[in-house]
Amino acid sequence: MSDVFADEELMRQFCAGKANAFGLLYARHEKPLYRYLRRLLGSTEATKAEDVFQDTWMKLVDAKDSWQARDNASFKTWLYTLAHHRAIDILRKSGREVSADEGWTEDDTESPWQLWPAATAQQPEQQAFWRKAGQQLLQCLDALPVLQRAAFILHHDDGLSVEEITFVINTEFETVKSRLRYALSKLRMCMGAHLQPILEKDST
Amino acid sequence: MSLQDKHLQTALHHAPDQDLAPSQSVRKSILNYANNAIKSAPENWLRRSLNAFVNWHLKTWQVTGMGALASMLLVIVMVREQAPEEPIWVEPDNKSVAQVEVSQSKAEIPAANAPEVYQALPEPAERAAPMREEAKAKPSLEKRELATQEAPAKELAEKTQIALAPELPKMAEMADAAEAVQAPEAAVVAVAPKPKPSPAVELEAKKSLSNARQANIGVVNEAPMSDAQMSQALNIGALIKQGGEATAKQDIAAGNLRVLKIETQACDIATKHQAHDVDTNYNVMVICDADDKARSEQLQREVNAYNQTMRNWHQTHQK
Repeated sequence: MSDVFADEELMRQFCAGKANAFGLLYARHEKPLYRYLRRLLGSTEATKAEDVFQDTWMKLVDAKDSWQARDNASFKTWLYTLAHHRAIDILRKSGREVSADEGWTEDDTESPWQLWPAATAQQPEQQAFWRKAGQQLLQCLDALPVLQRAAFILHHDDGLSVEEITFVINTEFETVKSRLRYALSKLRMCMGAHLQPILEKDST
Repeated sequence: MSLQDKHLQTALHHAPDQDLAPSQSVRKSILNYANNAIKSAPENWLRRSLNAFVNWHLKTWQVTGMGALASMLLVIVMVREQAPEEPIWVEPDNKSVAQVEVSQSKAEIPAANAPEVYQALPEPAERAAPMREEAKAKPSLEKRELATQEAPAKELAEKTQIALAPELPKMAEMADAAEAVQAPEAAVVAVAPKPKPSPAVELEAKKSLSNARQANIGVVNEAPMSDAQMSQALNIGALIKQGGEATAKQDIAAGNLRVLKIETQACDIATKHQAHDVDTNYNVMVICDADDKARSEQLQREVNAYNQTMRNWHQTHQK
């Protein structure tokens, strides 16, 4: 059933009084949303991820009566918007800089990640590589400004389009695009520097 | 430049936190919260009101005190609003309206005898007492009505002390024939004062009045029936026989100062505004009469004589 009905239909059923619909919605978005919050809050505020996660869902339940008025956004966008703003509040209270976007000089030529295995590789040694790459990426994400981090995660992990991201982080379309570009450049640099020794070791 | 990097995306999907999930307790609390929200949805308005009330920061003893006060007020209001259902006997107010009528169905009474068939409650004051006792004995107007309807008209006539004039030999027979007459009930109703009669009583009174109109004659006293007024009840037969002047003198001697008026139609309504005579300020006793012109003319003469005697006496003694 969870795969049959769209999020919006399940939400309508929940608003109509069906508790099962909410259970399906929750199961569908539990891990991705929690993961987004953990990554957005970073290692320093990771302990607050559960609180923010719980607050988000409770806020959604409380606001279910106003759901019908939100036709301009999908359920997923609405859910991530609630979670994003709650997380930003936490980060602001903790003293983390949220709004500043650092400039970044893009340099695509001869970057180390061009030596990485194919992203679709399924061999065991390649899987191990990607696990290490994933671990490294989390550390690199921690170093990104919060809003660039948010744009990157929403776009790469949660599959939101640029338009949807503009709604979630409440900013302009072009701003989202530039933040994504900055995030990619920084992450590539960060990842390349870290993974280069591994690649060289593996190749020998 | 593309905004999506497949390598970084693959690395992200292989990150060690990929399968992280919130704890079971968080999951349980969220699902319970959603379930409760659905269950309590119809009571949201009540909950909101309750929360608003609680937000006043009232202490328990304050809430208890307010509740007790509200309960006491409610009880007091209920007790005060409760109408006296069974007034045993209340001295009637002189200005309240009561009706005494005696009537008989026109179809049951020969036209020739109709004028003298019914006479208003006669003059003896002692006759008021049994009526009062009867009113006391009966617990409510409704019960009295039922009892009255079930009893034969003749018996009711005796109970209500309707005087049958000795000079009218057919009175008893006519009373026998008048079993359907409802006027006696009206008489009983009239002597039992009631602040606000029930709709059933009002309906019955209207029916009685309607019957009285059909029976051509009756007496409607616009003033309420006090003990003194009970003794003022008019004997029409005696009025015609003795003459208006003599009857007026008797009444003056007895202290029954009043003015008579004959109404031939709609006497129940038309006389509502004629409770007192303009010249003398005496109570006006209305005699409902119709059809029998010969009797009416005689009655009118005697009534005029009666009124003239009263007014003369008023002018000489009351100024």
